[in-house]
Amino acid sequence: MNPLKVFMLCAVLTMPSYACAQTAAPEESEVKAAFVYNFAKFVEWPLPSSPEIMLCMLGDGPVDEALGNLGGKSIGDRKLKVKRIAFRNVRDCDLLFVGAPEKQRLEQILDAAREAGVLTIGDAPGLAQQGVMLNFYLLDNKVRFEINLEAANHAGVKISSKLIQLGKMVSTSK
Amino acid sequence: MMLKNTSIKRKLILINLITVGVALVLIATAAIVGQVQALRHSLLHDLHLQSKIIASNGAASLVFNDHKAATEILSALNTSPNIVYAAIYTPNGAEFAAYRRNGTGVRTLQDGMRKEENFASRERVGVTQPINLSGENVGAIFIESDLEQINSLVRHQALLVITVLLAVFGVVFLLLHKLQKGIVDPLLGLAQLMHRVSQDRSYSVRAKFSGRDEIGLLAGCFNDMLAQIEKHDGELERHRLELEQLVGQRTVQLEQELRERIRVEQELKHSNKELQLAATVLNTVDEAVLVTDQDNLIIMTNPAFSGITGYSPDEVLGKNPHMLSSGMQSPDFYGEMWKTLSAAGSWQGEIWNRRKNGELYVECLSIKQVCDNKGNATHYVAVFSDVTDRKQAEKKLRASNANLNAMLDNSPYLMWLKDTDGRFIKVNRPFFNTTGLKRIQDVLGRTDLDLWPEEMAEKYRADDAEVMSTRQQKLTEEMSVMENGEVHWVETFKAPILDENGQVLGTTGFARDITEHRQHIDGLRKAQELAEEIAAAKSNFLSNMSHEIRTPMNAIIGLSQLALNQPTPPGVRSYLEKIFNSSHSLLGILNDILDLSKIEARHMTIEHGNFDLDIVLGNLDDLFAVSAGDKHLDFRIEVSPDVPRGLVGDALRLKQVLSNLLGNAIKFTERGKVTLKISVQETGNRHGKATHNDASRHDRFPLLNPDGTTSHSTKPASVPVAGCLPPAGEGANESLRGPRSGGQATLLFSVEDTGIGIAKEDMPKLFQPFSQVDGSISRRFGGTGLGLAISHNLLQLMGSKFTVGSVSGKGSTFSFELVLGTNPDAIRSKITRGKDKWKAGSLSSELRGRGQPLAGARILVAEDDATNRQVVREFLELSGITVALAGNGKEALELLDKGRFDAVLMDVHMPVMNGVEAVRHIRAQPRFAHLTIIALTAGISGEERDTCLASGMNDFIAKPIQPEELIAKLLRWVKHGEETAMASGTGSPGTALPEHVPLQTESNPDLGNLPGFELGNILKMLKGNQQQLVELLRFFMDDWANVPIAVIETKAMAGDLRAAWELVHKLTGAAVNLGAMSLHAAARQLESELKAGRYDPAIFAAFHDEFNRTMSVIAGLRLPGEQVPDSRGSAGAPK
Repeated sequence: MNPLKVFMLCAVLTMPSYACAQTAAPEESEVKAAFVYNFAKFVEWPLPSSPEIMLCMLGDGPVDEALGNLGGKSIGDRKLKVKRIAFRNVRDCDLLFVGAPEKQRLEQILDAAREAGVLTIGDAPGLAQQGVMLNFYLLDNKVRFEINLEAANHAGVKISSKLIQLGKMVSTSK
Repeated sequence: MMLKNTSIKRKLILINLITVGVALVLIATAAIVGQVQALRHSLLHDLHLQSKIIASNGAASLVFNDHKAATEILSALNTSPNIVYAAIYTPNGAEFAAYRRNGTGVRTLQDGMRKEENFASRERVGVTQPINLSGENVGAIFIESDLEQINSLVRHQALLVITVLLAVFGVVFLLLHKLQKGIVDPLLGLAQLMHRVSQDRSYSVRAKFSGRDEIGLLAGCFNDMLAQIEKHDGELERHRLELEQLVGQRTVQLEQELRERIRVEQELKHSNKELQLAATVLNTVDEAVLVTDQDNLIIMTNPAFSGITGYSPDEVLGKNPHMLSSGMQSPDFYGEMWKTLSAAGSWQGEIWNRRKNGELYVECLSIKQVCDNKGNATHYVAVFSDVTDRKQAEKKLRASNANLNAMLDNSPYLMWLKDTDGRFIKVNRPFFNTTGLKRIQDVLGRTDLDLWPEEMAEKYRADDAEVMSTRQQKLTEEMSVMENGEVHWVETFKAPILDENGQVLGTTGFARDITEHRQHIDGLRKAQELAEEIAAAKSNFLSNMSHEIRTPMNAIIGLSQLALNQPTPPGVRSYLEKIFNSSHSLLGILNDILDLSKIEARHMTIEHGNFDLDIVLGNLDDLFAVSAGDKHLDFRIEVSPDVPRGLVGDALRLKQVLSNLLGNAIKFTERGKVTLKISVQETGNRHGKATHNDASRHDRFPLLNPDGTTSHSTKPASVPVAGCLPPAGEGANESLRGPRSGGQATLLFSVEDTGIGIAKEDMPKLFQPFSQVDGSISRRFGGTGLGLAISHNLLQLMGSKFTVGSVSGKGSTFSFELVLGTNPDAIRSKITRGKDKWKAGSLSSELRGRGQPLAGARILVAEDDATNRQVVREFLELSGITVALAGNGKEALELLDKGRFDAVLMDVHMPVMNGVEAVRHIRAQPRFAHLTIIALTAGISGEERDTCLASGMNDFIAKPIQPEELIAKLLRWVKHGEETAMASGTGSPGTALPEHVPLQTESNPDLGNLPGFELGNILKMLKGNQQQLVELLRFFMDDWANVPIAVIETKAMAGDLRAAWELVHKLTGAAVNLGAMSLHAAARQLESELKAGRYDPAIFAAFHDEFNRTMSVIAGLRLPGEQVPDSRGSAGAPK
């Protein structure tokens, strides 16, 4: 088979996704998505659990697609459901990936999330200090995360000590 | 073996030492092994515990990819000195974090990631533990420990065991050395005593040992044995002496017996030879032989027996032959057998027995009893052979014979075989049943002569002889009268039987009673005849009906027409018009009923005659223009220019269909228009497709077939141009619309109206007789409802069908396609007719004008009905014709004898002598061979017309007589000017002398007033010489009559307008010179058209009409005193 044919075949076989073009090394977005998925395992929510864990996305970001692929995975006997939401629907969520929102908007979001006991996850420098519970950062080109335990405690979200061991603790800057 | 020779003393010591040693080693080993196992188990348990703790703690660091945290967790293991290696693996088996005591070692995990697993070797043990997080496997941990701790423990304990073992050995050896003396010394004493006895053979010594242990017992037994031996020695000596004495006696006896045996052996040798012969015989015969003793146990068999039964002699000897029994014979059978055997000494029969392999077979068995001299049975000898194959063959043969016989016996035929002499060889059961013969011997071997009456038998034998000599099969049907008078029909089939060389072996025959069959056929034939009679009666009735009704109708219609011709007060005129119209309607209804009857009786036939479409359309226009005008409807006939005019088909029926459609359309349309459209679908090609005409037709109304099927027309095969109507003579040279001679055209006829329309649900009823769509319609519009049904059937006969499109309340379109032959010769000059026909005198003037060429002709009318006679006479006289009347055929013949006539109009049905017979008489006379005879008949069937034509009549006019048709037919047939060969003045025809003298008959023609001529100038030029003028005119006529006008037409149509113009130009000149002004005008018009390079058929037609008219005027000219004007006289002038 000549390369053109291979390409054609790939194109035909993988119309909806880019599976063929993917490389073995995970993208940063995929690592973050995997982290988000694993966060859910080390968190207990204040409200009684439903059969579904609702992972919500607010705004657009580079991680969206990778997060979207998490839909349908299970955590224990609960199914992960991924949904893009509008701001007012924050209450329906268990995890809220806020990405890198506008600052003004962020306060509203965090207030709503706190009341609803939603685990908030950010993906921009400084978000943890602004009250996002978990926030990604890069260290030596590796994905790490910060934990704002204070914010979690306010929302009633319990973060496992095992997770706490691994994250960098920060607190809300007034 | 060394051990065997060592002393018991040593053996005892050795046994004890080994026993003690083994016991000690086993105990020590068990203890060590148990301890090691416990330690290993404990170690593994510890490892599991540790791995679980690490798995739990390390899971988070693993999923979040935190090497540092993981390594820290693992490094806590350095408190356990025995753990050499521990690692956390990612799910794909790669090491994520590790702890190494000595800083070396790599281990990858491929399997066992998802389950707990132990690993153990001589040196190390390890534990694999999967790391699960929320039920999901995220990696694995592996911890490995060395066994140094356990191994050192084992070494220590082994040393301890060896030390203890050596000490025990020393103590045991010393103890045994002391203890064994008490056992060994008495044994040595006893052994010395035995040695002495065996050396000295002195059995009187005894062992001196007392004690109750095992050695004491041994010494006691030894002493007893010595005592026994001493006693037996004495007895032995005594027996030896007795034996020697006995041997001496026995030797003498044996010598005697030996001699006797030798003698017997010699005798045996002799008899053996005979026995061998018998055995050879037994071994060679094919029959099985079986011998039993008096207890019926087998004592001998031969090889054939083994061959048949499969049993070897060893298997049967000493057994009862019953072992062969198949169980298929009842015990009674055997009882009977034994009874016979004991009574008669022998038994024969067939028995089903069973072979060794279980197979059944049939043997043909013969048993004989062998008795001793006292008559007691000593043996039984059975001889048998295997007849199974023969039996089966017989069975098959019987079965096949039975099949064959079953076939023969169940045949409905009598069957037999005869030899060449006619003797019956075989007959079947029906033969007996039918002949009444009972026994087979009454038939077989006998001949027909033995069985049947002589006459019959001879006949049969003759048939047989014929079959044998001709070697052909023969089928006969014979009638035979039974004794009780019943008539029977018998069908007999005979055939020769031939061998492969063709030699006749005999005959075979089959016969059956076909009386019922014959009766059935007779019944059918009678029924058919009856049906035909009924059909004929119906047809006859129809013909009579038609005649009987038409005769008065003729009178009513004719007289009302004549009355209308007279000046009458307006009120009376209105009555007369209504009488005329009503009688026409009545005629229409009558025609419809007769048509329907004919269609139902399948007597309706379709003619294939030449006709001129324009004449048909002209008639239709005449028929409907008035009624459409009365209703203020826009009535039009639109004909596409390419529609051919000369056609071949049934003009009458076409007109009937179209007038029905138009009549309905006008009847059901209150306002708007009614249009008859005719267009060409295709020409020449019978398999063409519908053209765009179809589409234009469809866009107005949805098209529906009454039966709901899709519309298509079936086209009849092309029909040769033939029929009663010969090609028209006059006017044949008129113009044509297209060169379609002998071709075919598919014409689409459609009648569109803007009337009340037809609802979709009423479509199916449309073509059923006596059904108008709405019952109230009959009351509102009148009509029988037969019209469409008849038209529908007529179209079917013509190979077409209606297509109906209709919107209720908007209008309807009825259309149909017809394939018609085209024939330009069919065109006749168009008859034009005034629309104001009901004015007084209009009929007179029309008939006079039209019948002008006939003026002065003498015509004999034979008609039995006086009223009808009057009608015909008046019509003819209006055309200036002299009429003689006859009341029947006989009178007509008499009148013909007395006077000269140009034509005879002959009624077909007349008393005394009917028309057909009269014509036969007329034609029998050579002088009347060319006399024109036209039938007048009320019967309108094709057969009646055929009868007329066959009897020698020239044409046919149907009653009620239409005056126009009457004149047209006469114009075609009567060449009045050419036929007046005989003077008429001599005898008066008696009944009716001409009362009305036509314009020009035999009088000086008023040449100055000749229609279409202006002869003033030329007369002046000729100084009033009328004779000269007439001669000139005749010369002109002769000159131009020989130039076929068709030449002009042909040239013009072929595009040679110049040649056509030249001819016409020449004629124009001649006409103007002779003062034929009408002809001149017509010719000028044609001339100028041709000169302009155009050719208009209508103008040509006008010219042609005028030409004909002019010529007939010239032909009618008579000079004073001239009676036989004709130098060009045609044949057949009466003498």
